[in-house]
Amino acid sequence: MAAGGYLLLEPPLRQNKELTLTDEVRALAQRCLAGDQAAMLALVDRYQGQVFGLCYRMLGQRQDAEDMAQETFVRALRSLSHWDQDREFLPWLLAIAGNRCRTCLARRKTRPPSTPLVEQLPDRHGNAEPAKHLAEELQQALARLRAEYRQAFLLFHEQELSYAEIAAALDCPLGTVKTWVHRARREVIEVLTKRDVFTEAPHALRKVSI
Amino acid sequence: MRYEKFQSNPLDCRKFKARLNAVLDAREDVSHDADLRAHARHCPSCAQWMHALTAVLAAIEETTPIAPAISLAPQHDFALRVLHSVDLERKQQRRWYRWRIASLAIAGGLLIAVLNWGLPDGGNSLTTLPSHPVTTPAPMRQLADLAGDLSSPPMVFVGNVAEGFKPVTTSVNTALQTLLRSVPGNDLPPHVL
Repeated sequence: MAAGGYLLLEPPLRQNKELTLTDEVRALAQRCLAGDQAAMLALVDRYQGQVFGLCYRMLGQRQDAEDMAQETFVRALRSLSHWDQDREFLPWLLAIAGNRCRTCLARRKTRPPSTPLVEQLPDRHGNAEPAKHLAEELQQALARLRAEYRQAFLLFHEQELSYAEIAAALDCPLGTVKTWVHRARREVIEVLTKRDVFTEAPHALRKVSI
Repeated sequence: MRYEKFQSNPLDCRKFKARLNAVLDAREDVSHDADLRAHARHCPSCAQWMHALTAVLAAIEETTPIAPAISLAPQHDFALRVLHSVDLERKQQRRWYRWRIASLAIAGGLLIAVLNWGLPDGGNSLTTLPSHPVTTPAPMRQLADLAGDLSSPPMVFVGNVAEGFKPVTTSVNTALQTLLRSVPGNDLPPHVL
């Protein structure tokens, strides 16, 4: 596959810290299937941060994110027997989380929100820390993305899953996932540029020496 | 990811963005790519694009991990709530199954009772089929007479032909009786139906 005149070769194996924990997770899963509540607690404790982080990024609201994260684990524990133990557990779990969030987002569209979905930021306030401001603006920009673009973008950049893992978890072609991530990058930059996030806070950028 | 340049032309803006995406896909540092730097040096728009993208990705990496709210309860607070939901779901499912079985049994019993009351002979007609033949109509007999020994065969009522279905109806009858006897409070004698 060519990209802008360059030939893409096989990428090197990514050092995934989950690889070393796979056997441990499998053992935990077996105990969960046997009804061991301590194992269920351990599984939830291990992954709640990542699942909640994804849900919060997807939904923009803490309460909704907690609800969806909880629902994710309930579904995962209920259908643990369907998890292919030859594959990594985290992509499967995050795919469930992403799908729950997309369902929540679809539900939001059908009913008017009683509270602002994502805090509407006022115009640029100069006394805020630039990094914090960028993070807030980024959250706003992510909220504007299509759900599948947002999910793919967060799974790749925040959760650091590979394209292959994301494609397997979401059950869609690898090329589609790549397209979603590329479009998400473009749209996020376009939104942030329109809001003058970068021009007004140049020190928020990590300058690349050229 | 390693890239092999098969074109020696410098990047244009379109190729620059494609190359930038490819480097980010490989999770490599864009500052190490000489071609990207070379183009950015001469194109402020692409330089701004690259800076913005790297800043965004850095912001994502540097964000403090978000965790669900932890109350004064033990640190397993969130996990315990999940477990509680799982337990609750299982209990609801068991209750639902019990109600389903009970309502099916009640519906079955009501159906049998209705059938019983609805049939004048108490349901015997379900197992007994009329077997009297129907005689040929008069015009046919006249035609047969005219044709001499040529006569149409007498029409036989379907009940006679259906003798073979009696074992099926007997089985159904037995199944209904068994179901009716299984309904609590039913003390109908076995020979009903």
